[in-house]
Amino acid sequence: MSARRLDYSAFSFQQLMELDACTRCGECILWCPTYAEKEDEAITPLKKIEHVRRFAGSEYGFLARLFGPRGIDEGELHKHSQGAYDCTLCGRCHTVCPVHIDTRPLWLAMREQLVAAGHFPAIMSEVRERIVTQHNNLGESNANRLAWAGNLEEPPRVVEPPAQAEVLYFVGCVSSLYPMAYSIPQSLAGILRAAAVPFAVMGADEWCCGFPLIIAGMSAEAHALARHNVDAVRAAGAKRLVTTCPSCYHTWREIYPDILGESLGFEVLHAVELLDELLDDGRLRLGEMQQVVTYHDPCDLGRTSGIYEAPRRVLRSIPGITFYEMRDHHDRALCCGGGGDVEMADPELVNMVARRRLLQAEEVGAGVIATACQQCKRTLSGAARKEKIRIRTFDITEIIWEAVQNAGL
Amino acid sequence: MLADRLTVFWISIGITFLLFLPLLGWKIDFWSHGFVRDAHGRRVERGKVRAMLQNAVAAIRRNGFGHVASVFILDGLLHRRLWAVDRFRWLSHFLMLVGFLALFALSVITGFFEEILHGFFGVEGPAVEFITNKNTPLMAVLNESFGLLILIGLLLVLVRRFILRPAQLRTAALDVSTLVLLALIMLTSYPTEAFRLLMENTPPNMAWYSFLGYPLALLLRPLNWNWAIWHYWTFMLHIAACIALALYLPFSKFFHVFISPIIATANALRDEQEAHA
Repeated sequence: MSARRLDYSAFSFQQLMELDACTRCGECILWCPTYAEKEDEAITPLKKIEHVRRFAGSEYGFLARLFGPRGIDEGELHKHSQGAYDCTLCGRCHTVCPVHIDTRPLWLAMREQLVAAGHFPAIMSEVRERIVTQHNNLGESNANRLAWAGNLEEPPRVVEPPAQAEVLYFVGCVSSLYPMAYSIPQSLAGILRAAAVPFAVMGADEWCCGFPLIIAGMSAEAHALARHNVDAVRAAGAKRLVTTCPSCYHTWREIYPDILGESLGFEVLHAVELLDELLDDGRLRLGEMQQVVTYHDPCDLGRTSGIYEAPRRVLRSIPGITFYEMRDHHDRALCCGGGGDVEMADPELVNMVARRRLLQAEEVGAGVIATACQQCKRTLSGAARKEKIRIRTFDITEIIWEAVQNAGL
Repeated sequence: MLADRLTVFWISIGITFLLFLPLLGWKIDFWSHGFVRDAHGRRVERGKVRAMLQNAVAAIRRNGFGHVASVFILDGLLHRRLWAVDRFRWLSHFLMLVGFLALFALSVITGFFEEILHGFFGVEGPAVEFITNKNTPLMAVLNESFGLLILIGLLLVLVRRFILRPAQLRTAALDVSTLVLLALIMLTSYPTEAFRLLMENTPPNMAWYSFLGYPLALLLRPLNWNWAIWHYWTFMLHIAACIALALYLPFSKFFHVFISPIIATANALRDEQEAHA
């Protein structure tokens, strides 16, 4: 046992109180998607809290106050780290916690603490290196950010200051650089043109929003990314910033004002909000689609950002669509497994969580899972292929674009 | 020669209170390692507890006292989320909560009348007699009833944890130690009352208001023990368990009694605010 001390400055005063508010009732365990697949106690919210409470107790508990701190058990710290990084940060535990412990930010604070203690998956250092040096989480040249637009008849306008762009589309790393997700920005570009909404993209000037670093517990590195991105959008004179990625959306809307200590001065929208608005204004005409569709709430759009109804309204506005809810939906929706950077550390676990979600969709007879997140699409599609489950996953933008094309525009 | 029972009681309470404060102080000192933001979102480096209190006052003003109070009752005390997911657990929690709060309130009122008004200021009169006399029907019934709520709640907790054993439940030393102390408090409470009734030879028409203590006294009476001694030691054991729980409280699971209602209220209000944003 070493004499290691842990730093608690990543936690808020209230979060440290929340450690004491946990009654160890275990309700969270029943709802934890990763624990359901990998029965490692360290993953459970209850155990994560217990671990930190024990670490704190060995330094600041009754006996530690009387006889001096005991130091932290490295083995236990390692176990805690594994549990903390096997969490998808879906936040379902918060929605069922009888004492309303705000779990997701608590898990982030734990990861910050673990990074400060040097106990985190090695892959996270690589991700940090890629993002900080290449400004995207794949480590590709950032000049490739417009690869998705390569085969469009009319490529999007790339804003160059002082050029003005009222609506700026922040494409995000996954949609920009993973070929499997290219059709999402392609679809949104098509929809915006169909609705006569002038827009532009940032191209190579778009840097990773920093979300993968923030959720890895490396938020300090996200500041420079936030500064760059916000300055770039301001220089473009954008009034509205649109994202198709719920994590980028959350980062822009909630985290940037917080870490920069200033309001952005422009509106941040997720694509489903914009689609909802365009449909409400009658600016999009949708053709018929005969599909049985269910909707998968992305964690960062639903539980983290509180957007549940806009995507459902958008889907229900498509003629011919039969819409069913899965067993777990809205704030109780099951995670697809693709969040929390778990994919980088434990891809098999992600696949297992995604499989369970696919089975829920199969249960209601859906042929299509609609979602509003490129990562959910990747995760669910990948698992469907691997598990040979005959369900297709599409982003809402893809479905709406097809409906727009069906309308003959 | 045994020390006067009530003298021991009040000295113990005084020491407990004196020790409890620094223990709580240690706890708050640990929480202060965390950051606090002021109303403008800036991190506060000094005076974190004051800033937290200011934030709490601001939240009450923003939401309105009535609304905060209703959220405190529904989410902080009655845990409506728990009602939605597990009625059995909700009931056991509810019984223990109501029993404890009511007994605590009753003890404070009795202590005030007995020790402050009567003992310190020498106030006499029917109201003082009504409150301080343990054989007053209403006081006897209330004490017994609230104790019974805790007892039933505790039994339900024990049944759930050790017999039903739902999959999500994890039992560790932390849980057992708290339950042992609670059980000790409850197991010494009714015998203490029974021994008091036997010691004072309370007439049946008055004693029956102690509807659990008196039947127990009737069961024990044939033993013909020295009831004064038994009453003294069960009372001491009861008080010792209460004091142990109070001192262990800031470092035990039972601390959630204080913290959970605050956290549940604060976060429920914030969730509401975000949902309406």
